[in-house]
Amino acid sequence: MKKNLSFEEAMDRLEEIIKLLEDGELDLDKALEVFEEGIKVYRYCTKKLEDMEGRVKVIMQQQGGVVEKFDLELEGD
Amino acid sequence: MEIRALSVSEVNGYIKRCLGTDPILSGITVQGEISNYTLHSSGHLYFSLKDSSSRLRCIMFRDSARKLSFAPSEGMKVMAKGSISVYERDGQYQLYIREMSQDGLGELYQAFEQLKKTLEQKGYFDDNKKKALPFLPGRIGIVTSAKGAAVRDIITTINRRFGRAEILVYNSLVQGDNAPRQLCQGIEYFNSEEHVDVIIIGRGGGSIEELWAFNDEELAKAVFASEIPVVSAVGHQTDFTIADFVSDRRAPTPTAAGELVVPDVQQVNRKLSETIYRMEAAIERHIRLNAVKLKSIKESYGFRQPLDRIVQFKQQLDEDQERIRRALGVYRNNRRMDLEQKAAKLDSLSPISVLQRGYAVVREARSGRAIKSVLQVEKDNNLDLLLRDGTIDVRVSKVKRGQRF
Repeated sequence: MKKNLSFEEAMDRLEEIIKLLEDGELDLDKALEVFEEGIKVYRYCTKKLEDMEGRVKVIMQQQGGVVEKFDLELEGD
Repeated sequence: MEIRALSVSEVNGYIKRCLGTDPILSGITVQGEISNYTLHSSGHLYFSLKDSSSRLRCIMFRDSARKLSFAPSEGMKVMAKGSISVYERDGQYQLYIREMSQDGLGELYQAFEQLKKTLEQKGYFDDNKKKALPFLPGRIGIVTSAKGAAVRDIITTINRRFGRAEILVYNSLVQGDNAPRQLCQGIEYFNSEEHVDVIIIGRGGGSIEELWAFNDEELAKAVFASEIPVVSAVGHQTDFTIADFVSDRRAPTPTAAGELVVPDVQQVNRKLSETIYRMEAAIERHIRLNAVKLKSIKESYGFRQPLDRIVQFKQQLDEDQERIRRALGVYRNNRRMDLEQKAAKLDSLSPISVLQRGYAVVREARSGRAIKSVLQVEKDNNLDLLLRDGTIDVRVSKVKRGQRF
């Protein structure tokens, strides 16, 4: 599996793999190999979703162009 | 014609009717400056419009006043549309205003149209220049006021749909003279300092003047130059700014911008579960098909040779391996034969192989030009004959045309 796949590319690859498997043209060894890749890509996608951080940061301009960051407190609705 | 004396009410009523039937006075637009402005507790607006030498009393009823897109104030220059009629109690005519806009907006609108045309000609709005939004942005940059309602709408929407995106808010003014510069700096910041996957620029609804920062030419250039896709979310559904035309996607509202930049996580998860299900089903079918094949082979041998299972399997394995080796061998042989055939064909085309078969090549000695016709040769010419194993220098003693051998 290629490194640094974007989520979209990974999803596209999954789709390709499924097509290959569903076509049934591969011999068993190749099919298993492709299946294993599919599982890896699937795990990669799941991990990518789980690894995302739910964080909100604010960048304020200070005098002299300095930038400061802190978490934004959202006022409740 | 003499008519009887009229009452005051009759005169005022008559004048009212006269004014009411006048085609000009029943629908006019008046330009002037607001003075003596009063917002009555009833919601009606009372004021005068004046110019350097005259004034006109005006009233705007609550229902019309509610539709104003700005708060009128003392000294403000406006265009008021309505009709002239008489307030009979005081015997005073006044302008009953139905619509009012700030004067000078005409110029703003012209500037807007002009800039829009220029940028359009420069290709700023071309569809093929628009960048696609990432399906799943890891980091989202928002350039807007950190205190505004817009940023809250965007963040709430993103969190509701997705929950786990990293959001960076670049605090910027969103109206006034300094707003365009700060908005540009925000876009540049995300392009050069702290990378994000998609940028949202925007603000909540407001009057045309309040949204004006998003019609700035420099901002348009910054959006166009951004290597990161930019989503614009300025004001409401009906507000269109230059930034909306240049951006890669226009969101009609800040909430819609949140929906545009992140997918619904439930949908993504559903799709992912579906992929794993389909992969498993497919590979199971593969294995089942192969198992069936194996079984049929096993049974055909098994009946006649009552070996124990392990030996059978071993033999099966050996046979399979042998089959693979054979198949590979055949494949390689095919490849080799193929190659040999190609080589043979190449060889037969080579001039050297022609010489091998006893033919000669004739060349003019001086130029080395190949001689293909007797017309190229005259008596006493010097020629070279190239044979398989050397060259013969010859001199032409006679040329005979049209004769062979």
